[in-house]
Amino acid sequence: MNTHSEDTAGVAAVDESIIRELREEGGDLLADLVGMFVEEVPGQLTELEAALRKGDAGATRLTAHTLKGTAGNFGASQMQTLASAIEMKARDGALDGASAIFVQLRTECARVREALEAVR
Amino acid sequence: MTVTALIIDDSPFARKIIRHHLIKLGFHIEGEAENAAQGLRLFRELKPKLVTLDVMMPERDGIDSMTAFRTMRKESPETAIVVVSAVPFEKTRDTFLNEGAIAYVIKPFGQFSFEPVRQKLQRTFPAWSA
Repeated sequence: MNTHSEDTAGVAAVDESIIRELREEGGDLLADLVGMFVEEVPGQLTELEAALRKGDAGATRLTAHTLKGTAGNFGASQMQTLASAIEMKARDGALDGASAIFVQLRTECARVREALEAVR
Repeated sequence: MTVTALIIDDSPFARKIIRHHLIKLGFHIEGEAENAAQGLRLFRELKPKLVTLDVMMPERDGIDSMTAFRTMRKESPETAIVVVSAVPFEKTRDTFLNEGAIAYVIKPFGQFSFEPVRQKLQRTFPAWSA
Protein backbone atom coordinates (compact mmCIF):
# COMPACT_ATOMS: atom_id res chain seq x y z
CA MET A 1 0.00 0.00 0.00
CA ASN A 2 1.46 3.32 -0.99
CA THR A 3 0.14 6.39 0.77
CA HIS A 4 3.36 8.28 0.19
CA SER A 5 2.78 9.30 -3.41
CA GLU A 6 4.76 12.47 -3.84
CA ASP A 7 5.67 14.59 -6.82
CA THR A 8 9.02 16.19 -7.44
CA ALA A 9 8.07 19.10 -5.19
CA GLY A 10 7.58 16.63 -2.36
CA VAL A 11 3.93 17.46 -1.78
CA ALA A 12 1.86 14.42 -0.87
CA ALA A 13 -1.14 13.88 -3.15
CA VAL A 14 -3.43 13.34 -0.16
CA ASP A 15 -3.12 13.96 3.57
CA GLU A 16 -2.35 10.64 5.20
CA SER A 17 -3.79 11.68 8.56
CA ILE A 18 -7.13 12.53 6.96
CA ILE A 19 -7.15 9.24 5.05
CA ARG A 20 -6.35 7.38 8.26
CA GLU A 21 -9.18 9.08 10.12
CA LEU A 22 -11.63 8.33 7.31
CA ARG A 23 -10.58 4.69 7.41
CA GLU A 24 -10.92 4.58 11.19
CA GLU A 25 -14.49 5.79 10.86
CA GLY A 26 -15.16 2.27 9.65
CA GLY A 27 -17.91 0.94 7.45
CA ASP A 28 -17.46 1.67 3.79
CA LEU A 29 -16.93 5.40 4.23
CA LEU A 30 -13.44 5.64 2.75
CA ALA A 31 -14.16 3.14 -0.03
CA ASP A 32 -17.37 4.98 -0.91
CA LEU A 33 -15.60 8.36 -1.00
CA VAL A 34 -12.85 6.97 -3.20
CA GLY A 35 -15.49 5.44 -5.46
CA MET A 36 -17.20 8.82 -5.72
CA PHE A 37 -13.90 10.46 -6.64
CA VAL A 38 -13.20 7.91 -9.36
CA GLU A 39 -16.73 8.26 -10.70
CA GLU A 40 -17.26 12.01 -10.53
CA VAL A 41 -13.97 13.80 -11.01
CA PRO A 42 -13.33 12.81 -14.65
CA GLY A 43 -16.71 14.27 -15.65
CA GLN A 44 -16.03 17.43 -13.68
CA LEU A 45 -12.68 17.84 -15.44
CA THR A 46 -14.42 17.44 -18.79
CA GLU A 47 -16.97 20.09 -17.77
CA LEU A 48 -14.21 22.43 -16.63
CA GLU A 49 -12.26 21.99 -19.83
CA ALA A 50 -15.38 22.73 -21.89
CA ALA A 51 -16.17 25.80 -19.80
CA LEU A 52 -12.64 27.12 -20.25
CA ARG A 53 -12.76 26.48 -23.98
CA LYS A 54 -15.99 28.49 -24.20
CA GLY A 55 -14.63 31.23 -21.97
CA ASP A 56 -17.59 30.68 -19.65
CA ALA A 57 -16.38 32.24 -16.40
CA GLY A 58 -19.54 31.28 -14.47
CA ALA A 59 -19.36 27.58 -15.31
CA THR A 60 -15.59 27.61 -14.83
CA ARG A 61 -15.95 29.08 -11.35
CA LEU A 62 -18.65 26.63 -10.34
CA THR A 63 -16.82 23.51 -11.51
CA ALA A 64 -13.47 24.64 -10.13
CA HIS A 65 -15.19 25.32 -6.80
CA THR A 66 -16.60 21.78 -6.80
CA LEU A 67 -13.19 20.27 -7.50
CA LYS A 68 -11.63 22.42 -4.78
CA GLY A 69 -14.21 21.13 -2.30
CA THR A 70 -13.64 17.53 -3.37
CA ALA A 71 -9.89 17.93 -2.84
CA GLY A 72 -10.39 19.40 0.61
CA ASN A 73 -12.12 16.31 1.91
CA PHE A 74 -9.00 14.23 1.25
CA GLY A 75 -6.44 16.86 2.16
CA ALA A 76 -5.36 16.89 -1.49
CA SER A 77 -3.62 20.22 -1.05
CA GLN A 78 -2.02 20.59 -4.48
CA MET A 79 -5.28 19.71 -6.27
CA GLN A 80 -7.08 22.17 -3.99
CA THR A 81 -4.57 24.95 -4.72
CA LEU A 82 -4.81 24.49 -8.49
CA ALA A 83 -8.63 24.33 -8.49
CA SER A 84 -8.73 27.39 -6.26
CA ALA A 85 -6.43 29.30 -8.62
CA ILE A 86 -8.80 28.61 -11.53
CA GLU A 87 -11.81 29.53 -9.39
CA MET A 88 -10.24 32.87 -8.48
CA LYS A 89 -9.36 33.66 -12.07
CA ALA A 90 -12.95 32.90 -13.08
CA ARG A 91 -14.31 35.02 -10.25
CA ASP A 92 -12.20 37.92 -11.50
CA GLY A 93 -13.37 37.23 -15.05
CA ALA A 94 -9.74 36.80 -16.14
CA LEU A 95 -9.37 33.33 -17.60
CA ASP A 96 -5.96 34.08 -19.15
CA GLY A 97 -3.58 31.39 -18.04
CA ALA A 98 -6.36 29.24 -16.60
CA SER A 99 -5.94 26.62 -19.32
CA ALA A 100 -2.31 26.11 -18.33
CA ILE A 101 -3.37 25.64 -14.71
CA PHE A 102 -6.06 23.23 -15.88
CA VAL A 103 -3.43 21.00 -17.47
CA GLN A 104 -1.63 20.85 -14.12
CA LEU A 105 -4.91 20.22 -12.33
CA ARG A 106 -5.78 17.29 -14.58
CA THR A 107 -2.37 15.73 -13.93
CA GLU A 108 -2.76 16.31 -10.20
CA CYS A 109 -6.22 14.75 -10.15
CA ALA A 110 -4.74 11.62 -11.72
CA ARG A 111 -2.08 11.56 -9.00
CA VAL A 112 -4.72 11.95 -6.28
CA ARG A 113 -6.81 9.20 -7.84
CA GLU A 114 -3.82 6.89 -7.86
CA ALA A 115 -3.10 7.64 -4.19
CA LEU A 116 -6.74 7.09 -3.24
CA GLU A 117 -7.05 3.83 -5.14
CA ALA A 118 -3.97 2.62 -3.28
CA VAL A 119 -5.59 3.21 0.10
CA ARG A 120 -9.11 2.08 -0.74
CA MET B 1 -35.99 10.59 20.93
CA THR B 2 -35.20 10.81 17.22
CA VAL B 3 -33.71 14.10 16.16
CA THR B 4 -34.15 14.86 12.49
CA ALA B 5 -31.42 16.53 10.48
CA LEU B 6 -31.02 18.29 7.14
CA ILE B 7 -27.61 18.52 5.47
CA ILE B 8 -26.95 21.48 3.16
CA ASP B 9 -23.63 21.27 1.34
CA ASP B 10 -22.68 21.55 -2.32
CA SER B 11 -20.05 18.81 -2.00
CA PRO B 12 -21.44 15.26 -2.20
CA PHE B 13 -18.25 14.16 -0.44
CA ALA B 14 -18.88 16.48 2.50
CA ARG B 15 -22.55 15.44 2.62
CA LYS B 16 -21.54 11.79 2.83
CA ILE B 17 -19.05 12.43 5.64
CA ILE B 18 -21.49 14.61 7.60
CA ARG B 19 -24.22 12.01 7.14
CA HIS B 20 -21.88 9.35 8.48
CA HIS B 21 -21.06 11.38 11.60
CA LEU B 22 -24.64 12.40 12.30
CA ILE B 23 -25.97 8.86 11.94
CA LYS B 24 -23.21 7.71 14.28
CA LEU B 25 -24.43 10.30 16.77
CA GLY B 26 -27.96 8.94 16.45
CA PHE B 27 -29.61 11.45 14.14
CA HIS B 28 -32.11 10.63 11.45
CA ILE B 29 -31.19 12.31 8.15
CA GLU B 30 -34.40 13.71 6.71
CA GLY B 31 -32.88 15.29 3.64
CA GLU B 32 -29.87 16.65 1.80
CA ALA B 33 -29.56 19.77 -0.32
CA GLU B 34 -26.77 20.88 -2.63
CA ASN B 35 -27.35 24.62 -2.45
CA ALA B 36 -28.82 27.18 -0.07
CA ALA B 37 -32.03 27.73 -2.06
CA GLN B 38 -32.81 24.01 -2.18
CA GLY B 39 -31.84 23.78 1.48
CA LEU B 40 -34.29 26.50 2.44
CA ARG B 41 -37.08 24.74 0.54
CA LEU B 42 -36.36 21.45 2.31
CA PHE B 43 -36.04 23.23 5.65
CA ARG B 44 -39.59 24.57 5.29
CA GLU B 45 -40.93 21.24 4.06
CA LEU B 46 -39.18 18.85 6.47
CA LYS B 47 -38.93 21.06 9.56
CA PRO B 48 -35.74 19.38 10.85
CA LYS B 49 -34.52 19.84 14.42
CA LEU B 50 -30.93 20.16 13.21
CA VAL B 51 -29.42 21.71 10.08
CA THR B 52 -25.81 21.58 8.94
CA LEU B 53 -25.08 24.46 6.60
CA ASP B 54 -22.01 24.89 4.41
CA VAL B 55 -20.82 28.49 4.27
CA MET B 56 -19.15 28.49 0.87
CA MET B 57 -21.76 27.46 -1.68
CA PRO B 58 -22.36 29.11 -5.03
CA GLU B 59 -25.43 31.35 -4.87
CA ARG B 60 -28.59 29.96 -6.47
CA ASP B 61 -31.84 31.84 -7.08
CA GLY B 62 -30.34 34.82 -5.29
CA ILE B 63 -29.95 32.87 -2.05
CA ASP B 64 -26.56 32.32 -0.45
CA SER B 65 -25.68 30.57 2.80
CA MET B 66 -25.95 33.67 4.98
CA THR B 67 -29.38 34.51 3.58
CA ALA B 68 -30.56 30.95 4.18
CA PHE B 69 -29.09 30.97 7.69
CA ARG B 70 -30.80 34.23 8.68
CA THR B 71 -34.09 33.12 7.17
CA MET B 72 -34.00 29.82 9.05
CA ARG B 73 -33.12 31.57 12.30
CA LYS B 74 -36.04 33.94 11.82
CA GLU B 75 -38.59 31.32 10.79
CA SER B 76 -37.55 28.67 13.31
CA PRO B 77 -35.26 29.94 16.08
CA GLU B 78 -35.55 26.62 17.92
CA THR B 79 -33.84 24.72 15.08
CA ALA B 80 -30.19 24.03 15.85
CA ILE B 81 -27.86 25.08 13.05
CA VAL B 82 -24.31 23.80 12.74
CA VAL B 83 -22.28 25.86 10.29
CA VAL B 84 -19.67 23.97 8.27
CA SER B 85 -16.83 25.76 6.54
CA ALA B 86 -13.51 25.26 4.83
CA VAL B 87 -12.74 28.86 5.79
CA PRO B 88 -11.34 29.25 9.30
CA PHE B 89 -11.90 33.03 9.33
CA GLU B 90 -12.65 34.24 12.83
CA LYS B 91 -14.89 37.03 11.60
CA THR B 92 -17.09 34.63 9.63
CA ARG B 93 -17.22 32.21 12.52
CA ASP B 94 -18.07 34.95 15.02
CA THR B 95 -20.82 36.31 12.77
CA PHE B 96 -22.58 32.95 12.58
CA LEU B 97 -22.08 32.13 16.26
CA ASN B 98 -23.25 35.59 17.36
CA GLU B 99 -26.37 35.15 15.23
CA GLY B 100 -27.27 31.84 16.84
CA ALA B 101 -25.37 28.97 15.19
CA ILE B 102 -24.68 26.33 17.84
CA ALA B 103 -21.32 25.34 16.36
CA TYR B 104 -18.87 26.14 13.58
CA VAL B 105 -17.07 23.08 12.19
CA ILE B 106 -14.00 23.39 9.96
CA LYS B 107 -13.42 21.13 6.96
CA PRO B 108 -11.77 18.78 6.31
CA PHE B 109 -13.50 16.75 8.97
CA GLY B 110 -11.37 14.84 11.42
CA GLN B 111 -12.20 12.12 13.87
CA PHE B 112 -13.05 14.66 16.55
CA SER B 113 -14.63 17.39 14.42
CA PHE B 114 -18.11 16.54 15.62
CA GLU B 115 -17.26 16.01 19.29
CA PRO B 116 -17.94 19.65 20.31
CA VAL B 117 -21.11 19.46 18.25
CA ARG B 118 -22.20 16.34 20.09
CA GLN B 119 -21.68 18.04 23.42
CA LYS B 120 -23.65 21.10 22.37
CA LEU B 121 -26.41 18.97 20.94
CA GLN B 122 -26.71 17.11 24.20
CA ARG B 123 -27.44 20.42 25.85
CA THR B 124 -29.77 21.48 23.05
CA PHE B 125 -31.67 18.18 22.94
CA PRO B 126 -31.49 16.71 26.47
CA ALA B 127 -34.07 14.03 25.66
CA TRP B 128 -32.00 12.90 22.66
CA SER B 129 -28.92 12.17 24.71
CA ALA B 130 -30.78 10.63 27.65
